[in-house]
Amino acid sequence: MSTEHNGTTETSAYILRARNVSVDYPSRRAFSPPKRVLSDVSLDIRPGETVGLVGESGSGKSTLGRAILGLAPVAEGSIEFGGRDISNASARERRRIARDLQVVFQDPYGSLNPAMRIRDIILEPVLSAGGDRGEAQAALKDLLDRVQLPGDTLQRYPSEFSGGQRQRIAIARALIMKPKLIVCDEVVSALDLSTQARILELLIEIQRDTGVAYLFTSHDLGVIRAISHRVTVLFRGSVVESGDVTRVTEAPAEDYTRQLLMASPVPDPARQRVRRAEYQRAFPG
Amino acid sequence: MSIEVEELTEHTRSRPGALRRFLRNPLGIVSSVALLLIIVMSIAAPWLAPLDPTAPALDQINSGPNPTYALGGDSAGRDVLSRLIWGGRSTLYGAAIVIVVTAIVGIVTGLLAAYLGRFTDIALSWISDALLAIPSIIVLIALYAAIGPYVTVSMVVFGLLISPFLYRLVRTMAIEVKNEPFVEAAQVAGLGTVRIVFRHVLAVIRGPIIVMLADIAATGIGIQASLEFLGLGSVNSVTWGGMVQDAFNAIYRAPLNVVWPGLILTVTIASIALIGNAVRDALVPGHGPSRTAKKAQSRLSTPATAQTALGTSVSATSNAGEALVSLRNLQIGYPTFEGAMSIVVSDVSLDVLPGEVLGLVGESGSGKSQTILSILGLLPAQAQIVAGSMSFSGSTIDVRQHEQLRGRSIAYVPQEPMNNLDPLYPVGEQLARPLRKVTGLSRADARRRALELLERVGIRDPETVYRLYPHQISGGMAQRVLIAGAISSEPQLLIADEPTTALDVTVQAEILELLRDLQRERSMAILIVTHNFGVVADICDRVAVMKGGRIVEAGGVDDIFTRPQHEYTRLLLGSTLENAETRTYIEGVQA
Amino acid sequence: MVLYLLKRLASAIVLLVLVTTATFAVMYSSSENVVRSLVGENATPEQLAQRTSELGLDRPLWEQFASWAGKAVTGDFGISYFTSEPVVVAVTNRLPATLSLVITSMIVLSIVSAVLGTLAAIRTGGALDRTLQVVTELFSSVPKFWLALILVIAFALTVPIFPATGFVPLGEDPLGWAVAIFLPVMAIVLGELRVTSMVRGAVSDELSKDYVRTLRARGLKNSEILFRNVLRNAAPPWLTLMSMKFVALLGGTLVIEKVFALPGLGSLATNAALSGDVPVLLGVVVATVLIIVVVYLVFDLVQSWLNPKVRLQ
Repeated sequence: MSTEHNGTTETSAYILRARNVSVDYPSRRAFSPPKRVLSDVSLDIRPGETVGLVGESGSGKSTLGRAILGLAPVAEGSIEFGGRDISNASARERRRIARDLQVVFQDPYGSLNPAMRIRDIILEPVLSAGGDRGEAQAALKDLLDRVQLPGDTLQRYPSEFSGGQRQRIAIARALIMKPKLIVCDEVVSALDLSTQARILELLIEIQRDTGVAYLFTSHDLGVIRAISHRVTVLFRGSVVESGDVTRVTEAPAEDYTRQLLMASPVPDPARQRVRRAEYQRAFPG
Repeated sequence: MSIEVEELTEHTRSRPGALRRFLRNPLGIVSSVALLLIIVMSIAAPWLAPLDPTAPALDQINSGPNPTYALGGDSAGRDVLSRLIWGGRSTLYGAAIVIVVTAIVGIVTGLLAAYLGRFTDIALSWISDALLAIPSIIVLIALYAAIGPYVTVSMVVFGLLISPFLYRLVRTMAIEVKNEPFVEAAQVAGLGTVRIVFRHVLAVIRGPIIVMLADIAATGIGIQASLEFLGLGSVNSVTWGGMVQDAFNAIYRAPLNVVWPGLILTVTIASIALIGNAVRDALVPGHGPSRTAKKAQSRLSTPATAQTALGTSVSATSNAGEALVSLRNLQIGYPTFEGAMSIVVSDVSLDVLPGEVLGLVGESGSGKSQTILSILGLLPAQAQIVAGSMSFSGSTIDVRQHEQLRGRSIAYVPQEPMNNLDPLYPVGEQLARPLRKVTGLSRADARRRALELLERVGIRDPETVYRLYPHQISGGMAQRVLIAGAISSEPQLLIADEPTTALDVTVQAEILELLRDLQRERSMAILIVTHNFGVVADICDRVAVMKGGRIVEAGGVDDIFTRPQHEYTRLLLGSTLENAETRTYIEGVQA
Repeated sequence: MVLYLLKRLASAIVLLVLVTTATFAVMYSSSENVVRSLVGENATPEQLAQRTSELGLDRPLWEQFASWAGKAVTGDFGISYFTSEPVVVAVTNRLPATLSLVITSMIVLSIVSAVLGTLAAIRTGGALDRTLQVVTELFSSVPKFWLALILVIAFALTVPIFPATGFVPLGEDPLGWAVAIFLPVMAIVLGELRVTSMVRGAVSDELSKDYVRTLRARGLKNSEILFRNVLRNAAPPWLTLMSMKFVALLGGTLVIEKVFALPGLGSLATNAALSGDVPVLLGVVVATVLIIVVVYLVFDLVQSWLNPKVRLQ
């Protein structure tokens, strides 16, 4: 485990600090000990920053996001958001936190209630966090513009939209309360290549305009590199390496990170030949 | 931004509201009217019935239809028509009770089981299973013996006994919906559980609940009538079931009297069931969790209906020798509801040369999967090859040829390994059996060959893995098993549909390596479908880019990357993020 | 797997005990009603009291139950209040008719639903499929006992092909037995034809799964894949459905017995209910639940044997 640069920072201005977080999932069989899916993970997020979380399946990357959102119980460690410990917060506390912490999920088909109109879907966070509904309604048009959706979207149902459009709606829903941090859980993984690029552009633009921070999860190092400022690499629930995105992706300190980088093929035949040879030398069999 | 616009033209129609949809359904209308008439008839019985339903007349005993008694008289000489009109009250009353009791008990317990944790779930489910094991009729008969003919109590008890059906439905669907991302998003937004249940869960599952309640009400009516038929019904009021019993006692003399009450019972039951279905259909935008949508495609795939302004189709043919597989001007379509044809592959021409690797690149809806499935002859039944031809090694492929080629000269590696193995059989057996059936090997030989193949594809302990079931192996291992199956017949052409997309990136690299080795070793041609240009760069000799059912560009792999001709190819290459700049964080600049 | 079955057996026993206790409590909660129907409306209070203590109905309820249960596990279910016949004898005499009907209906329904459902699924939208949908919907709305009556009127009275009433034991005359139960079985099965559309749904779902396509790509024939893979995978939901349907079939049988004057458990129970013959009624309830429990266990056995995930534990 690299000690040079763990995921934490020295600055006092941070909006999220996860310290030594461990999460267990109950075993499916009765009377078996629970399975530890996240061990001793620490991570900081500064205002307006994107922290990328990358790993393969079973790495626990989605779990950390879920723990922050209150969807997975924290067994050990702490998560501070806006100065307060939010690990295992109550429903009432979550309502308060919700104004500043939102989520966009991976699955465009499951993210929107098929029985609700888009207007109601986007306004839902306002409903529970007790925001001003009138103010939010007025802001809807601007919000739709920002995510590049046409004006007549509001009275339609989710089934009328494509995957990329649904993600835009989900992003609009996440933005309506003007949060400080959005957890983006594999938000482009289920989208086409060209749509992926556009959604990433959109997210970067939103970050530049509003100063919102992202915790961005993905299994795709290319995506992570395009959007993150700093990166944390996970393997089987533990942090392998973390640091500045350029440093990690150009001069990784750990073998596993190097393997992740080299395993994904380059869209350039000549360079891919070289990389393949290097990969086989470094990671035979 | 022509492509953005294209996305929207597919969805310009707005859906009409639920009520209007219901009103457009003929069966729904007819059954609603029928039920309404029966309800009105029952309420207005005192004014509608021509005669006193309980007044006997000696001269009308088992009489047929006559001027005084429109439908004749029963075994005590009472007017059948009047009795029919009055009989509805008891039936409708019983049905109402069943609906209310079952709805309350079933929905509440189902939600409790879904939300209150494992012990509640286990306890309630056990009770529900126990109740379902009891035939309600025998309980109701016993109840009669204890307390006599009380419709209210009977129907309450029946409602309780039948509520487990609704309990199971609500519980299963609530658990499913509970785990959907849109519910989790609501949780993150801070919505309380109660609000989530009403706003999300119930809204999505109301359709199936309504259908089941309608079915249960229909069953309740039947049970109530059965009790009355057995003679255990109310003696004071007129009941349709009682009328059947009466007619049964005189069946030889007046068989017609059996018909009327049964007929109106049938109409009542059928209308309720049909109304339930019509309501469910009308509520369609909220017709249930999006699992069905997910099942359809993992990426959105819309048929290419519009003629896109992308120019004519390019062909990916080759003059470098005799092609192994040739497609010429292939056009594939699916019939639509309105009777038109939706074209998903349009004017596709390509060649695959022996021993070469041809990549078919495109996004969802490009038609790449349809194209390769047509070579295998594995398109869905509704698909039609509207135009064009296919040939293999020079001879045209028809239906029979497909069967000769599949699993022999042409092999297939699918995308999602776990979905492509039968969960009920060990993986070794699934690998070996086609070797016996298709290649004709003996059982022992097939097993030996299967073990060899497992070893060849990199599985370290073939003997053990041979006996394992799909749920006991990983995705990467499953894909190796499928590849072993594909190469088992020493095919000349391997068709691979996104073979690495569902796998982790380190496993992807291994599988690609395996495919490349196998290809070199056996001089096998590969037609590989992918959306990943890295995979293309790694393994392909030639590339064809598809969009909207057409090939928009084709050429050697080096040319495509260095000199892409078509704007769509350039767009895709530009989206690969390969040369994206990394971002720098500047403190304090953000708002 | 043995552990799983033992758990199911334990469940079954608990169920039996609970149902019996509940029924006993309900039936004997009002001993006065019971005795009154025996001695008649005009009995004097002394006659009432005497009969009550004779029957042991003046003891506390739990004591009555303990005494009944104690004898029941040895096979003594008491005697009928009216005929003084041992309950066990009365019930077992009625078993052949009821079981003939239920088991035959079960077999016929299983075969018909499996065959028609599969055929409809192979060609969804085809003529068979659409006809089946309409026909099953039609029959499912018709009350079973009325359907039976219509069948009697049509095929026994108007055109005397089948007997309208009567039961012939299987041992005596197999052909006569078959003819006698033909109409009743028809009435029961026609009303439950809806099962066919569920089979159709399950099979058609299975047919559209990816592994089916991959097996075809390996060169296996459609018929091979259908029998060995598709049906085997579609079997568990079908089996579950059929085991639940058994309860419905049994219920249907009990009512239809009256239409055909069959000497089964249904008519025994109805008469016992009308006359207040509680021991007999209790005996029928226990017999019914026992039959169901046994059938459930058999289905469970088959299900868990078919499912590798359960079999391997």
